[in-house]
Amino acid sequence: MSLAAIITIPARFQTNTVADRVLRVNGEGDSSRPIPIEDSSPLLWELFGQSVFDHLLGQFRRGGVEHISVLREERSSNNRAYSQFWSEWERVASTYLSNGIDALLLISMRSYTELDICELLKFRQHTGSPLTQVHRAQTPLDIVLVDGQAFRSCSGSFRSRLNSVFPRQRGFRFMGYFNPMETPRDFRILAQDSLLGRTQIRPCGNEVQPGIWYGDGARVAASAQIDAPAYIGGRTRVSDSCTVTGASVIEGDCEVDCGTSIDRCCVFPATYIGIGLRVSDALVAPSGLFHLQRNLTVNIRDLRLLGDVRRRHRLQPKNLARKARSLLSGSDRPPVRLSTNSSQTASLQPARWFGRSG
Amino acid sequence: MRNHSALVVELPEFVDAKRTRRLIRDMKAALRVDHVNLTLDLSRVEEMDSAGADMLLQCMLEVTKRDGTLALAGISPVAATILELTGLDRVFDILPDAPPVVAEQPAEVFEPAAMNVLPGEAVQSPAVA
Repeated sequence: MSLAAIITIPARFQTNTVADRVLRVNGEGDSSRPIPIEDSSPLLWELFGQSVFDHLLGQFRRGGVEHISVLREERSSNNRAYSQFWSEWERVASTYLSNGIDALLLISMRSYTELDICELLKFRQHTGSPLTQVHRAQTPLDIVLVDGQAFRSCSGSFRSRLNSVFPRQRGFRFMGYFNPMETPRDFRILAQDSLLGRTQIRPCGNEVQPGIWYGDGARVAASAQIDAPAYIGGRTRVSDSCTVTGASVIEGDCEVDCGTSIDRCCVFPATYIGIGLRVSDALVAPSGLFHLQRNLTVNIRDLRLLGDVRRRHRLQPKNLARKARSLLSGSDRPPVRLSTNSSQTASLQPARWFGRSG
Repeated sequence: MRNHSALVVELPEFVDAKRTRRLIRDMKAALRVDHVNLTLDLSRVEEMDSAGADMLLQCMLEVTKRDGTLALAGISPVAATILELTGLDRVFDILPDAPPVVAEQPAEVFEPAAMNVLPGEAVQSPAVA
């Protein structure tokens, strides 16, 4: 049986996908720009090295969907863009049907839904319905399975054919894992559930200990403590005396500087976290963090606290970081007397007093 | 008994490297008062960096050097997050709200005569003189 999917995503999505054809109706996306927490959907945020959206596409492929087209949906009042979107949608759907596809999945991607495609196809075969709508409890999801043969026998535009068979639709009860993916907290729940094996998303990399995964090139200091479950992304560095607890996820190319504790967090790619900090209950990005308990975004422009790992400033004096690492790594050498000026990381007790240097 | 002076300072919205230098400079004269009970009101703080956190520590050092006390009050959610991030939430005494005596002038305009240092209504310290 040949199966294809047309996935529509909101117009504000910017993504590179692994779909067969990605049709950007309204311009191209900028894949090089880091995705800010506030301005994008959690579906696009990276989890275990891939966006959640790409994880879903992978699941569709493993479920037997051979062809996937992604369209950016236009729902604005711009009539031209709106009609352009629907023209494109019609063209893609008609192309699949005329090429003999047996079944066509129509999905409006807004949530994380682990659909059992095999069960859905069996249900359609059993009922013989030309249109199957997926429901979760009593609520219809934006997932519809269209019978290719039934639609090829009708005439008119694809949308008009959809409307004509709508009264004959059957409902398929969805029982799998669902996450609305509307808020940062939803993303954190998905990350935690995935670490605990409750979803089909699996950490990539090596499971160095039960429940602890390291991506390729991850470097974790011997004195760092990592509690399971945890994920340390590829090329990420976790320095001396750090702790990672609470089912935390640290994506790739990050640096967690020495003495810092990460608890119940997701750290996005290429994030630098400074020395001796305590990060808890947060989604952390180079530009700041979202505190999950307070439901609050805190923008941080201090590169000594948080920053882009590729741009972070070195602390002054030049050997301060080395002294801090030496101090916090439990060296047998005599205690190091650290001196800072007022612009240094506040978590190190300053030795400078009013009116004189320490 | 030793009399303590109560002083409440409301910090501005942005407590960053650029502004803390001036804040420290403005507060130096005020903090040379012995036995001051200083409360820093952080209710207006919308952005704070490591320099701001360092300023809080310097205030504490200066106050305790003169047998005074320092507390933080009315901490905004942003300030609370930064204090937790840097571990300073465990260092300071934290009050839910600033005491009733509040400086009307913003902290940038900081004149000793305008501060609410109240020798006439000094709070009597429980400490033994």
